[in-house]
Amino acid sequence: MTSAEPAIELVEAVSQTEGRTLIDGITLTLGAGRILGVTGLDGCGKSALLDLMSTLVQPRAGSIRLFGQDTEAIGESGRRRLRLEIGVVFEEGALLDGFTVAENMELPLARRGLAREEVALRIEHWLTELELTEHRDRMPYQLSTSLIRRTALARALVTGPKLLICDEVTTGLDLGAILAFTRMLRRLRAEQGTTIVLAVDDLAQLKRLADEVAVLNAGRLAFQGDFARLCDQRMEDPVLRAIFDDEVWSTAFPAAASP
Amino acid sequence: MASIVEFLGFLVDALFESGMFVVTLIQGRNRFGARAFWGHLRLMAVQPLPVVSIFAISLGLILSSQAVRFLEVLNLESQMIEMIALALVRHFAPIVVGIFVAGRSGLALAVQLGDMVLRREIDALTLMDIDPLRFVVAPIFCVNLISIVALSLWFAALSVIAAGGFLEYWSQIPVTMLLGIVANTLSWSDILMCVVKGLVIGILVVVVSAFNGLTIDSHAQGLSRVATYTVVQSLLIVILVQLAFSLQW
Repeated sequence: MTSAEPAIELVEAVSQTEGRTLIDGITLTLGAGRILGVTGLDGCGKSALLDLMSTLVQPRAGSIRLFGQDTEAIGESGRRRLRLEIGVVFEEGALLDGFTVAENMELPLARRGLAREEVALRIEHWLTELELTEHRDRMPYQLSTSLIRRTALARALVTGPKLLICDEVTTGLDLGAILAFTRMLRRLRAEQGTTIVLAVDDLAQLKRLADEVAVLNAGRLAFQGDFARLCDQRMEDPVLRAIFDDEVWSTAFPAAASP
Repeated sequence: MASIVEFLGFLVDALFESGMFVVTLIQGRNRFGARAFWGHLRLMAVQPLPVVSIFAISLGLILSSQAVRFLEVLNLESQMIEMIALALVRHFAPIVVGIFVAGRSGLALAVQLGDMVLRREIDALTLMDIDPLRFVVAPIFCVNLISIVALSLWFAALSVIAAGGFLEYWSQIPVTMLLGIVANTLSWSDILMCVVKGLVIGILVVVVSAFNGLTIDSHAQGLSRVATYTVVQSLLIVILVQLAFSLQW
């Protein structure tokens, strides 16, 4: 369920904070309904790129278009409308303390003018989908890492976003939870055509999940393409070779040096 | 200069959002806000009562015990309560409660907001189209104003009674007579002074604390730096507000 119109277009986007350049002129396009895996070494700018894509941060230079809308040109009110189409899962969940699992899921629906029954229905649906029903009245501090991530995912999905952005949400999860997460994302894309961007460190997971891979190096885009092409280029490109050296690669794919 | 303009803009935003918060609360359209409001009221107005009471009684006793040493020579014990009551109501009550609020509520708010920024909860709220100022700061802002005024009045009353009790013990003048003198001496403008000082201190302390928390640096020492700045700036506010009022009125 993909369409020709790009969901995300970055043109020479630059992001800076506290005098540091985090994203340094990235040009990238992602079609609607595609899954993009963003990877790279620690501090390469993955989270900063995701912040640009979620409109939390505006580029210092260059431009970003989401679903055909220039995020700078539409102004803050336009960005607020656009954010209603975006779901973000932060690395540590960013659940609101003092609010139960179900209340955390209710928060993003609060300003959408939905009927109370519709809100309850959506919350029940995603509590069931993500196996959170028995935890609905628990506080974030009472949840394990896996449950926090699932609640954060449920909070992002309860609005039915066109674009889902996940920042290293599988880090620290067991394999069962990662596989369940993978199945969920595939189903989302298949059933709702959701465009998904994931920051991922795990190469095996990247291969399982992503239609396309973006490799960042010091705030620049070192590679964008499918995983097969990444395998081919890794040996020839010195930057990719430095990021994914033989030890990293064979640890991710122990059965064969080239997956 | 830029940060002063930024701060003033933040002050206006905070006042506006707090006003809107009160409107939605009265209209019954703010379930989460109502819960936050009552929770903060318990935390900021009810829980501090024992400590504020100990402060008040201690200060009343300290002032009266020190003053009596000088004034007994002049045989002015009965007038002493007037001076002590004026000092406590007009100056000490708002200043002591202000310091207490700055060190407790202001610091707690700055650290809470700073932590929310670092844990990306503020970003999450922004993405959900929920204004952090109205959602997090406004309930604390409103409760803080109520609590600082209520605690200042409570402090003033308790400290004057404590001072009267000490003077009765010292000079054998009945405490009811001493409190009668206080009632005749204090005017509504003295009580109003106590309330207005409390309100000004409360507004500035909360806004400075919230501003510091929300503009935290993302490096490792950010939170401890926010805590230090907030305590120092809040205490400075309490003293400067006191000074400004004292010079003017």
